[in-house]
Amino acid sequence: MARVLRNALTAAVASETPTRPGEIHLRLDHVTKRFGETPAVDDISFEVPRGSFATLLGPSGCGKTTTLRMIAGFYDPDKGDIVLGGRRINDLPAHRRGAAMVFQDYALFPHMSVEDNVGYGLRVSGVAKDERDRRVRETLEFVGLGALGDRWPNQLSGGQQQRVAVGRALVLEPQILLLDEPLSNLDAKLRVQLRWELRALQQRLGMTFVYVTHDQDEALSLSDWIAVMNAGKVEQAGTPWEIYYHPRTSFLADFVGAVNLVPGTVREVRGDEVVVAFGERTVTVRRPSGLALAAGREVRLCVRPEALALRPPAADPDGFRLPGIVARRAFLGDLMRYWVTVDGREWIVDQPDPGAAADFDGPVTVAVKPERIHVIAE
Amino acid sequence: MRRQAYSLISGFGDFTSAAAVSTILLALALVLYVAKVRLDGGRSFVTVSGRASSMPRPPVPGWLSSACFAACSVLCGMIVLVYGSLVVSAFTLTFPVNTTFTTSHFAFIFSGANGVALRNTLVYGLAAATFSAPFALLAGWLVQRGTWRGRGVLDLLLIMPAAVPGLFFGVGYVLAFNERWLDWLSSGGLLIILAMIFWNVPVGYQAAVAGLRQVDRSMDEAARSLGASSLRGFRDVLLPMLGSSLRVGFITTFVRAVTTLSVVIFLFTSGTTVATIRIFQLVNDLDWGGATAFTVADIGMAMAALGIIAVLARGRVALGGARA
Ligand SMILES: Nc1ncnc2c1ncn2[C@@H]1O[C@H](COP(=O)(O)OP(=O)(O)O)[C@@H](O)[C@H]1O
Ligand SMILES: [Mg+2]
Repeated sequence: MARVLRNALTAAVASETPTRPGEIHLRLDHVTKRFGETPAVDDISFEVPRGSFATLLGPSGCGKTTTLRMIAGFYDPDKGDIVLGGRRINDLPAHRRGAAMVFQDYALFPHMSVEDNVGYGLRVSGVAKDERDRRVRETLEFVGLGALGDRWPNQLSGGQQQRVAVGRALVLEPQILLLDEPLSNLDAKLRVQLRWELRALQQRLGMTFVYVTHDQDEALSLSDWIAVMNAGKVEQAGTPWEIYYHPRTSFLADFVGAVNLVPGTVREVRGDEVVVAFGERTVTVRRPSGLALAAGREVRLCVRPEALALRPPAADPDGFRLPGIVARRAFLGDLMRYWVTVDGREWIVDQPDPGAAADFDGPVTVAVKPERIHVIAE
Repeated sequence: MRRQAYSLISGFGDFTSAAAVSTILLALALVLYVAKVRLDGGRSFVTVSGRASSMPRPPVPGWLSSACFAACSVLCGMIVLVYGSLVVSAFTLTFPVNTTFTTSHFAFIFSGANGVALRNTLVYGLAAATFSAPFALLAGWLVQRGTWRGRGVLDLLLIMPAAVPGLFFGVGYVLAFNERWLDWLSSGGLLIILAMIFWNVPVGYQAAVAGLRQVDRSMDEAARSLGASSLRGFRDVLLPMLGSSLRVGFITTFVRAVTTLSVVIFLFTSGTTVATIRIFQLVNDLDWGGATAFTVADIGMAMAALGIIAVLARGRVALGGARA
């Protein structure tokens, strides 16, 4: 199946445009969509390379679904262009875009068996019965539902329904697969398992996926590329690594995981380094790219809890050290999370593998490596 | 009001006043329509979402079902009383004076002009139901799923006939089609069928809209994202789930068409007379035996149609469920 799909895809791609590594497959250019007065999607632009797993991440109501539905052709943008495979598709009706969609609620047809659901797209495009049956069978095998072809959707578990929905879209060998929170209706354990299955599937097929989620763990673990959206805008787009360690705004830093955001003031800029004062202390950190800094500028120091470590109060200097007092802590299984009061501010510190070390309590030292501190504007 | 308008027409032949009264009726209906649109604006009634599930029915308390059973029994008793006397009268010489069994009334109504009237009733009813139900469904889809301008106007037009007494529907058709070159319409009974179709559209239309509201839009969208045009998606995905709406439209149109007097009373000609007209005439002639036999035959037709539809519906695909 993987081979079949891949061959078909390569053929399709070859006949259209020669594939270049890193070629842009999907481009949104200043796209705006309003419902009434307030824009649901506000002048967004981004590019998705061919064959990548691209994720739109953001809180509920930020415009992710609206964006995806514009790509699918269910909404017309008020402004801007949507370009797929080098072709502007704004005026192409949904059923001719070659963009299959997997819905949050799966949208399986309740009056059709699993086989008929998966074969529906092929039937519509007039594929002969023999060929159709063969491809449906292969696809069902591929998504691990080989034996369930003659079941009805209501006889399947949530996870199985989700696989049928994915299979139903994949069987058409679409140019691009759009997925709107496909895992959000499943329980936590299955969600994590299907996450890996989806990622493996995408890599085997080399297909472009545009994935929508509000779950930052999901986005970070699945994606080649993430666009974080807020209030109808793309706040930042980049690799999961960039998004996590070099967020551009405090909204972003906060949205993709627990973070310490400490207000400070720029004292001095020295080449690649910048000296920032916070409270009574100063720290010298790497100068962030793409941010114009001058002495006197208000900034925030952004540092992830796992990049900090606790030491006994009189420990040797190790990078930068802050004296603090443990305010409270929470055992989270794989780590112990401490809230430590330093100069009247609470810092979050994560200690990995809590079973291997003694707990901290009372006065401690918070050790931080300056290279793990990231400066953001504000 | 309806009676008043009727007497204006039948008593005084005063079409202008009658038209004015009908206009008032229409205005009242319009007010109700606006209220309805306000009331259900923006609400969701989706029961068929894309996630398939099976739900057990909640239990009904015993006292409640006994109370309902008692109430229904009383109603049934009264209905049986009415229909029972009809049937007895149809099979006796002169009910209630001479209750000797006879089938002569039926021999009478199946012969000659009466037979033609019965056949016309069946043909017109079937024709009206066959066209009205799919038309109503398609209209419901266009209005409920469409995004084009002017849907509201179509919605209003499709509901309006429900507010118009059948009599005015007939009068309207007579006035509108009273042209020499349109005579072929009325002579073949086409005019009666048209009137029956549009007079009954609101029921099928409302059933279609109610059915569509229960089906999540992601169903249509899934079909479209798999390459089906919206019409194709309607046919393959929505239509099979709207079987019950289609049946409601069909059966209601048929039953109302074979039992209406008011719509046809101004439209029939000697060749296109129907059962209800004959019943009316026989009652005027005080031929109770013939009138009740006709009524029994007419109701029999409606019951047979209901029975056939019920049997057909048994092999249906239940909404959101496996094959029943
Ligand atoms: N069909 C619609 N009509 C009116 N408003 C809508 C519609 N769809 C979305 N919105 C509004 O647009 C905003 C973005 O919605 P959506 O794209 O669904 O967000 P997300 O998927 O990120 O949760 C929300 O404020 C929502 O209320
Ligand atoms: Mg959404």
